[in-house]
Amino acid sequence: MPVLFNNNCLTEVLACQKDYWEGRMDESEFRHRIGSPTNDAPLPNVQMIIFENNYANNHSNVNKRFAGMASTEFNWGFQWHLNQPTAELCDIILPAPVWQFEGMDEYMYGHQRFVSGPNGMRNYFTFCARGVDFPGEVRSKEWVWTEIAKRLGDEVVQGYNPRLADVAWEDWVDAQEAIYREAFEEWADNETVMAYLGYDHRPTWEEFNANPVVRTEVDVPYYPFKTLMERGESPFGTPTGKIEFSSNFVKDHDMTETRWRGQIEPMPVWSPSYVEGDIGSASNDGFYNPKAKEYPLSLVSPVSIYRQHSSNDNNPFMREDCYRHAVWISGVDAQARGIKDGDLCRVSSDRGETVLTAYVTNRMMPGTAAVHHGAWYQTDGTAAEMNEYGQDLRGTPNILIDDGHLPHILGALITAGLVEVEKLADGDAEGFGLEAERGGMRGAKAALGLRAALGEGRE
Amino acid sequence: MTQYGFMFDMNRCYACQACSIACKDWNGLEPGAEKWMGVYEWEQGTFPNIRLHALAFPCGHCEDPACAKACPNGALYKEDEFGAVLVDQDKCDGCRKCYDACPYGAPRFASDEPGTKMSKCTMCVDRLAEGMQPACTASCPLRAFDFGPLGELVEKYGDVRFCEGMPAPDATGPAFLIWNPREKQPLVPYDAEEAIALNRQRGDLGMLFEGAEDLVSFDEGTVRRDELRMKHGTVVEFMRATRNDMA
Repeated sequence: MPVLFNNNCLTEVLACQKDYWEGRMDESEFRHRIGSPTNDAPLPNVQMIIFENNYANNHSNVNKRFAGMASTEFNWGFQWHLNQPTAELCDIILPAPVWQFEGMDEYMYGHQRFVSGPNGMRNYFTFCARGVDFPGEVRSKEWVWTEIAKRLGDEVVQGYNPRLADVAWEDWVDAQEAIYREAFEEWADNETVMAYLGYDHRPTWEEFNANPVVRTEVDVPYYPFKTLMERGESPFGTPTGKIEFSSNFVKDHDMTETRWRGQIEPMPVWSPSYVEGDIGSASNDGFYNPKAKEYPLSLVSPVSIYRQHSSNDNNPFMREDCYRHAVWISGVDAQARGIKDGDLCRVSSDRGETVLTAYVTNRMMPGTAAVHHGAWYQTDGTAAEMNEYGQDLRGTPNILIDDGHLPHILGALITAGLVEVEKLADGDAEGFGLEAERGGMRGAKAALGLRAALGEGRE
Repeated sequence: MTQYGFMFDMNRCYACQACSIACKDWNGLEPGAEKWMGVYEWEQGTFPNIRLHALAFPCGHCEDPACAKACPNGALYKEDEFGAVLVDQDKCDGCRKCYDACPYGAPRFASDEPGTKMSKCTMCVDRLAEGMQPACTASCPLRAFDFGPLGELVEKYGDVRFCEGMPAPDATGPAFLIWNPREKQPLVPYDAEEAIALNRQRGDLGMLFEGAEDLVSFDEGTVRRDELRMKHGTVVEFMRATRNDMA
């Protein structure tokens, strides 16, 4: 079964590696489960993970992710909130900077601070200076990496970050800025370039910072592949040099031996294999899947307007008065289960479970349910049959959704699944199921309370 | 005095609450029940003939305002340039008689505490004085609001001042025209009965529901937002009624 993307790769590695290294899984199957560029690429044995995001929560099959994180020797990382699900299984947590605003680190995984547009003709660049200094004990990530490099040896740090290796923390951000300034000064010294850009005098660093957008006039509009086409060259890396509706590469290569290890047609073919009712090929969310007997409602996980992915799920203003996170269910399905709007319900799948208020609305087609994307797995440790780490009090759809893959190279359904919804208790007069939904950071309260009970004192 | 008013197109509004936020922002209102623009959502019908409605209603600035007549302190008055109904908070003692009198629930209170002063939509008379549109009208991304002299709006849109679930307009004459939900035309015609029949059967999994009747009748309380309710007993009820359920 092929993996779809790197994040899911890690989940599969953690789920399978013990079996492989202890001889219970053969190499071919291991490579197929985790994805492998070639048949002799080195095989992983991951024992330390560094987390810079909300990995545990933000793709499907949260329970499997948690189990994987718990299986390593040691995890650490940068997190923004004490109650982020990913923080639960980190041995050391460093407070994460908000890249774009705090300090002068690169941001967005490798973007330096001279930034040009992501698309279009890219005939401009800007400079993103620091917005604010790091608050509290937050430090630059690049300082952390450099400190680690120093401890790995002089050769390492000289290879990684020679210019800042001996810079003290107090001077760190200024030293990063000085490097950007160096680049600027060299650029601004170039009289030809400055004239071309229309500067009437050489700008100082301060002037540049006051107006840090530099545009190049474009006389002739650019279009994709213009340069190549004017040279008479084909821009396409296909064997024929043409756009191929039926891919020669796919015809000539065994795609099950390529990185993603799956089957693919040279020309897209729609073939409804799911109707066989075979769990190996049936769609995760369809009624032909044998799981539908126990989990008859087809779950979707639409994007919420109250979050950007999982950002702002912790925001106390995005609660109660603004927004009620709930499991959406149709009138006929609710009636059949004795559920009224606002009742507390247990939503479960064969992968996990969560407790959610019901929003009964006939906008849901009979036979469907919706839990909106981006909520965090928040537990206070209350036992739950399907969740090893406790019942989910907030309601992430990712704990319900499987990450099983279809045999096809791109065949993973990670946004939908099959669930059952059952009533646990009456809701209250206002249409809330959980007292704990009130008043803001319920998740934070639960997590902090648990930590206090474990004897961890600090807020 | 030229009476100004609103036209609200129910067909455009999708309950995004931009108007409600713009109003809070312009008027410096705190989060909570002191919310002058209320956006109500409700659903009508059932699968496959479901319809969602939204009504963004601040205040009707009625031609014959019941609130002004009910106020024992003379705190409410109709100002003489735009016909806005305004409240003088110095005279208000929070008795809530205006709320009881108003069929639309336009007077707002920050809390249920006795003595809380009333505040409400001002028709943005401060903006109108500068030649600007009200904040709600200007902020709507769908251009669901029109605003201007009521007579001009009536000529443009016709004199319909209520939708199903709203009070009858002859009581107070709200300066608030409404473009009611239009008849829907299916772009791709389909047989609704056939859709229901197909949806119902699940092969060897049995039936999803017994018959079409199961799709239309439910125990009381199963669906909560199935009608427009503009009057509420507590601020919490008001906040629940004007919360966004578009996820």
